[in-house]
Amino acid sequence: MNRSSPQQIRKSERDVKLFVTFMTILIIIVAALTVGSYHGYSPNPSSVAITGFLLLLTVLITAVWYKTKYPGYIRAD
Amino acid sequence: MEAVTVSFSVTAPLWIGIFFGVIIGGLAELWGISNSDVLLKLAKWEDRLFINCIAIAIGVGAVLLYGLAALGVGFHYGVKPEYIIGVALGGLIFGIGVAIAGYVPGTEWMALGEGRREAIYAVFGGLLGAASWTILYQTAVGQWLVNTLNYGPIYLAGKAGTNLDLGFLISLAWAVAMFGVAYYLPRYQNGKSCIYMATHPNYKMTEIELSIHEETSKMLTEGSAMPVGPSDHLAYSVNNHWAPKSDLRWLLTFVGAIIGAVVVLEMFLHQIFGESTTYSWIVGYLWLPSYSYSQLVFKTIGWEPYSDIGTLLGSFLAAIFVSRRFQAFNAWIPKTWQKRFGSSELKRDIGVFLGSYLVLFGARMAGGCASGHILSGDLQMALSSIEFFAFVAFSLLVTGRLLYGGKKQR
Repeated sequence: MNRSSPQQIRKSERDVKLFVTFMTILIIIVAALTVGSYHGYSPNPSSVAITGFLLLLTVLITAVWYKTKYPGYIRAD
Repeated sequence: MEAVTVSFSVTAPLWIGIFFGVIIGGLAELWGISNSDVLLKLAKWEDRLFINCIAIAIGVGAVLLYGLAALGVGFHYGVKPEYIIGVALGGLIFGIGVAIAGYVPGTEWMALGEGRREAIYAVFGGLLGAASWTILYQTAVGQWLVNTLNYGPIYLAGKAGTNLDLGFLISLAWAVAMFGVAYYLPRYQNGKSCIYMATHPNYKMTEIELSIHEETSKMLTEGSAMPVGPSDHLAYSVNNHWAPKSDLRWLLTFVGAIIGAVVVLEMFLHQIFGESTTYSWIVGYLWLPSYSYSQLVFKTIGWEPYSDIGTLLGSFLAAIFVSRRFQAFNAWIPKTWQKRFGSSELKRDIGVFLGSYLVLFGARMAGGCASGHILSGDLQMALSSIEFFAFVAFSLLVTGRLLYGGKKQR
């Protein structure tokens, strides 16, 4: 655990960062469209579920991307 | 949630809550508290950064809130009711849980956004803890805890939303006390506070201080799935933000001031910043919809699920674009835990699950967590939140001493 990894050269991450940016915009648009102008205190669970699902999917896909881009790399310091 | 309108107030749509979560989650990730080792070191009274930053946030926020309120600006106050026994017991349980898990409800979402594998177990433990309180709430024991010695939502100047001029005067003294804590409490033993170092650019750290700072930098970045290249100046600055040569030192020292102001803005637009009610809301919809506590949560939660989503998103964005601390769910165990309990990932996951169970069970019993009580509540000078903080601090430090043996000997 917390083991060292061999020296890893930094590679271009432009595509994953574009993906994250696109998904962030999409998540906010989905939340805005599913909530609308409602400003009470009882949120729609379906709206929260779809927004949260998109975010978790984004985090997972990003994790897979990094695992694939830098296989076996775990920063030690 | 009680809305008190004086002469000028607004209410924003729920999805706006995402932006507040993004700001607070992002700043807190840069600050480092999504790393469970930071709160484990606080339990050992070894790293007091959390106290420093939260004190600045409370001081700035209290003056801003009651100053504007005295001028006639309307806020959506969220002072938690002061039921002495339930808040005290909840605070004690919460502190024990934090000392075991290294997480509070909000940092669990942040850690998930940072791709920390143990955060998955923390979230599930938290959901079970919230479910346990939902079940207990409608029993005789639960009702006794929340109704015995219940004085309602009160703050240092009286009932919430009243006596605002007096509230402003008290907030000045409150802020002085908070800034005093932030200025005089050193982050590490035998050192100086972050504010002191940021405001004294010629201060020379001792060798011991420098070595602890370097150790902290390693603690924050270990386990990351993102290598750092020569062009990643921003990541370097963030990961060494307390170091004298970092250009982000001043900004990140006073990040608490930004957080305090953001919470006040949030109260102007809709409600206080909270993180733990969402756990009860989720278990209410998924498993316990007919329980009376779930029904209560359904009607009052407001935009908190969105601000929680924003917290996760903000931490994720900060980790990817700034700090480069995204772990991609790598295997990682905090050093403080590892030194005491070894390198078994299974043991750590069980510890995180159980600790988080206690964190959420205690938080829901007390009516709030580190966000709803310690940040938003103490910023409003709520009596229940002051009591909660005192009991959390006590049980956190005692449990930390028992589990990890107190401060590191140097």
